[in-house]
Amino acid sequence: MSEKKNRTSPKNVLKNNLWMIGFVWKYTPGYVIWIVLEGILWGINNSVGIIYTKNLLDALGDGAAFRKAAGVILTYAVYLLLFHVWHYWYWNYYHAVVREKLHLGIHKDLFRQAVRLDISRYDDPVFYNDFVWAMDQAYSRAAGVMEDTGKLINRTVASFTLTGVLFSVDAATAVIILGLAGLRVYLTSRSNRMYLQYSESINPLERKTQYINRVFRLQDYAKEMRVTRVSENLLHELDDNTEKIKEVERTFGQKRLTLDTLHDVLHALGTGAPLLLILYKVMITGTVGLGGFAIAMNGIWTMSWLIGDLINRIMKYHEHGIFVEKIRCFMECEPQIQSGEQSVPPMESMTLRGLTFSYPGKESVHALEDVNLDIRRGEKIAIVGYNGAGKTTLTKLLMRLYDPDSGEILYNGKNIREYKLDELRGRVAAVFQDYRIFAASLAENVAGGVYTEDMEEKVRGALEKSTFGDKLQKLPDGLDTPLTREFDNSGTQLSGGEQQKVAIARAFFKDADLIILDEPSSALDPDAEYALNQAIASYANQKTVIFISHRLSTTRHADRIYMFEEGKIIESGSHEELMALDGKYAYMFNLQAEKYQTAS
Amino acid sequence: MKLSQLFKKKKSDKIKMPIRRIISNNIFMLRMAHRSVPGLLLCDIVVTVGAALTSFLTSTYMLRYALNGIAEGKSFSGIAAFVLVCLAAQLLLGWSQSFFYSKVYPVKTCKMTNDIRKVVYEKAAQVELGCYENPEYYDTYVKAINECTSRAQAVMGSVGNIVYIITNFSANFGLLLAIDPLLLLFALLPLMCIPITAVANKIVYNRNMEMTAANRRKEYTRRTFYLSDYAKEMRLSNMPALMLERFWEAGTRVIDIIKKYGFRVITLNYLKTECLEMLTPLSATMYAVWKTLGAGTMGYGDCVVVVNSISTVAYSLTNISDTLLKFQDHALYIENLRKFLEYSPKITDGDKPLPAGGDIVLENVSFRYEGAEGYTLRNISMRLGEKEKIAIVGHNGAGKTTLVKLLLRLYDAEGEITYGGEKISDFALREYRDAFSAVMQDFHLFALPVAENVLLRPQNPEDEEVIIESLKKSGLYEKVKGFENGANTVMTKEFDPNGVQMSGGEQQKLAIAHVYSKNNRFVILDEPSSALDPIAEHEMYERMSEACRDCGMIFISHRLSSAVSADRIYLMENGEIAEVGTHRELMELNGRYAEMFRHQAENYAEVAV
Repeated sequence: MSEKKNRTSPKNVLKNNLWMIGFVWKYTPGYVIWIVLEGILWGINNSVGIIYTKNLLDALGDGAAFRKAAGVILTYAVYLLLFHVWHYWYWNYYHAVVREKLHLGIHKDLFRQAVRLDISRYDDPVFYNDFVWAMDQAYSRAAGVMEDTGKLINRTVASFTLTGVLFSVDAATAVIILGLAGLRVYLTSRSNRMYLQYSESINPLERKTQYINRVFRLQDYAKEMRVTRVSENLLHELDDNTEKIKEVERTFGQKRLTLDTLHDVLHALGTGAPLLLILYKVMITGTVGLGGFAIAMNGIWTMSWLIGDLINRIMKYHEHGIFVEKIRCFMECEPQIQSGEQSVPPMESMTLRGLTFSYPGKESVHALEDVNLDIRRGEKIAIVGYNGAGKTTLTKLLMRLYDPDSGEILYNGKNIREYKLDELRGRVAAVFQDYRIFAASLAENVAGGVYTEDMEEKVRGALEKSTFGDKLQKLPDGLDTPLTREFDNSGTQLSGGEQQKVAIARAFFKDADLIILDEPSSALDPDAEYALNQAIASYANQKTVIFISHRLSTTRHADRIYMFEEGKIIESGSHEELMALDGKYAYMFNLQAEKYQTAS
Repeated sequence: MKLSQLFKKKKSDKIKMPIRRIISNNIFMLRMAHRSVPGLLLCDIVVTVGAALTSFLTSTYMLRYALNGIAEGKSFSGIAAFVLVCLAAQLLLGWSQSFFYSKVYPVKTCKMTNDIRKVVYEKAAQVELGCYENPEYYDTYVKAINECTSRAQAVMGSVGNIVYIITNFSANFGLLLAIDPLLLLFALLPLMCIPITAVANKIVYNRNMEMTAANRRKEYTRRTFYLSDYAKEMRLSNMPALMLERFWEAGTRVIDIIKKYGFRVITLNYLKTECLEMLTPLSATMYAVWKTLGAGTMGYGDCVVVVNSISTVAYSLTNISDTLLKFQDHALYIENLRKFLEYSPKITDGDKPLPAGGDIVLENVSFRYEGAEGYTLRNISMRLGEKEKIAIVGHNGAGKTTLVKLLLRLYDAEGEITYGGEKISDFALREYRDAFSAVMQDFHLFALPVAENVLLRPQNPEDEEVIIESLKKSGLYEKVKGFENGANTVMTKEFDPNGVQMSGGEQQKLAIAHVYSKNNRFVILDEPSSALDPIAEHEMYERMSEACRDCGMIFISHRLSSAVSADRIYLMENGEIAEVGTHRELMELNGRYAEMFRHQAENYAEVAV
């Protein structure tokens, strides 16, 4: 609670908004300058409008010559013609371009920061929400702060001018108008606070509604929705949720009504009181003329609008402040996994000593516990075990996607933390269980980044090795074929098995010292699996390979097999040794082999 | 989402949709709203008219009354009384308006949205799966679903808007006419700028169109940077550099497009504004000032009213045309919703009751996905016996999963599929599908309690035993028992901080638990063991065979070891059945099956000694 208060203190709000302006300045200093100029120019423009009205009404009230009044109107017309030239150049050209530049600049930095961050951050739902939010909103918040700053300057300039005009008519009326405006500031701040509470109550419910919408919309769920009766469950959920939303609406309805009514009363007072006062002065005391009366009336409405908008802008800063805090937090967040200094020599060995690790937020369960293992160059290592035994976690530690809680990983005898991070990761290639195909060309997907012509041979080689060669022949655009239909309806949508082959080719292409294959054959049919095993076997002559599988037929030729259970290594050795041991591994292997034995 | 398509279609639709259809679509939406919350629109209109009149009364009419009153020498108390009456009216109407919009409207629209959603969702669960593969239909479908949440409210909003503008306009306009009929000419001046607006809108539309492709690319790139799906790859490859480059290119293209259209957009908007904001009010002001100061035929109060409200009238006119255009916009979206709701599913319900039992027989079944060039399945004939264990094996893409979809009548195919001698299309769909339990390769769980994920239907109090039993059989009971709320624990933490996140293998076990939760005539398992480790897989098969002693079982796998004990194995290749028989028969045949089997067995073979 105290933290929340601190975050929204005026000092912090100001600090965050200034930070945001500085942030924009970094990419588009011209925009910051123009926003200030634009605010001033518009403020002057509004003032000119006010003075024009005053002069016109004065002329009318005084019963001046028509020529004089016509002169006032024509001067204003000429002024508007000129002002609008600037206005449209600014909004339709300069502003559009500079916004796009800002968008690009901000995102470039956001992207860089996103990739730098620890992957463990993704496991923390609170951080991840803020993170996605920061990525999503940084630009629009920046634009919002800029816009409101421009408008704030504009409204301030205009209300000063108007206050001057009103004082020139009648000081007492001006004081009443300003006083009531002050009350409105208070009321608006109350409304804003209520609105914030309202969104906090309604947002989780809205999210749930969106989820239900998604389930009915997406193809992913279509089969289950038809084959089973689960759609009824979801419709019930929808009803429940709607009732909850209604409840929130009812709760806040009363508060809204109270505030709105107060607002209305204030508005009526704000127009009524000065009107009656000035009417009194015109008709009874005669201290104000007819022109002055018209000006004051006009001014009251303009003023109440100006002040209202001014308040809203200031309140917006408050809101911006809270969100900018999140963006700042994201941009200034330092990854815990820091790069070391030393450059990384070719891999000779990798040694794990007493490795223990828990995922953030799940500290009670050791994902890995006291794991020791040795890998030498050229070895084929298999890691087998139940689901959730810690196999995939281990590989993530090897790539320093996470750092262990205790114990160490030695690369050529030295702790991997001492090496440069990007070089280290460059020495490792991995095919994850949940690999991704990018909406880019096939060649770029294999190259894992920018593709140039001189890579062609290597890319083809990698695809050949991953047994994608046949499919490649059939693709009319060959390596340039765009993958996925994300942008291009003529893009190629590969099947699951084909995608996996591309992911494997990506690993081969990388020419790394250590290759990690996490269940590489899960989407492959038997023939493809066989061919892939052959390919890996031939590749393994020069490379170190770690593969993770629960098909023990794939792993039996490994130099060493580590059997994991609940984060611990329970058995290790060659296939023959483990079979001789007749422990869990032998049990699992026999179970799988059984069917083939009895049948063939 | 196929954004470019959306816009392309929108453009052509825009030209084609006749006015009648526009009106009828909007009425369609209002009718839907009316069915759910009768009278809401009427209330909205009444309140809006009140608001518009109050606004006219307190801003324009009150001022005129006061100024003319002064000129005519009315007493201060008379004018003051009038002012007070106006303010009282404003307060009263303002309060009723606040009451309506803060207490009534939000709750009512909430009900309305919910009702419309349900209509749409129920329909969504009915249309056949093929609709998802037809991009045009899917597009309509997605848009309809997204639209149903807000469009009714939007149409009502536009109606309210137009009522407000017309009321306010009429009042102001009437007053102006009363002051001087010639002012009508000035009020009509803004109509001149409608053609300019049309051209400007078209150019802005073209400009935005040209930007769509680039913006889509930017959007995708952003996703690769923040979605956790991509996080690992983005850290271990050079993809970030490529993606950043793409992002930059796309952004630069957007800037070029803005520059390209810059001059035209500026000029047109400039002309529009001059016509609307300068020419109309200033010329009318000039005329009124001349009448007052020059000719002396217009009263001071009237002149001030003209100065004040001529812009309101001028704006109202262009606003009306903008708001009318909104209805056209609504109509385009409602069109999707209507098409969707009026669509009659191709998979139709039959009325025959299910027979007591029987085999499923496929005869010469062929199937082609809509829009696909070739047939996915060709001349398939097979028999799935009442209590038989059937294995369907074959490469990826051989058509195994498609076959399953046909059995479940997610698609209808050429040729004939019968159950107990009757065509499956003659049965009531719900009843027919209830005879099956299927675990799909790409099964999905729902953010619902574990128990409901097991049942996949609404839960009754007496279901508890079934749920426990099913979870036990699929080997998940111990795990679920450990949850704070047991089987009532919600899956995923998305909506419930006490929710649970299960591992891939556990999720699959949960999907399989559903099979145990009901009485099935047939069980279909499409690669159900791919995320299970060998021991779990073994146990799953044992238990499943046990549970399916009295029902047919069809399982699809490319791990041939699981096919060995099947009553019959169908080997599929390129959409056709290549070999049929028991394991022994097929091994003797020494064809494709035998070859594949040996490949897989090779690594285990030595142990078999």
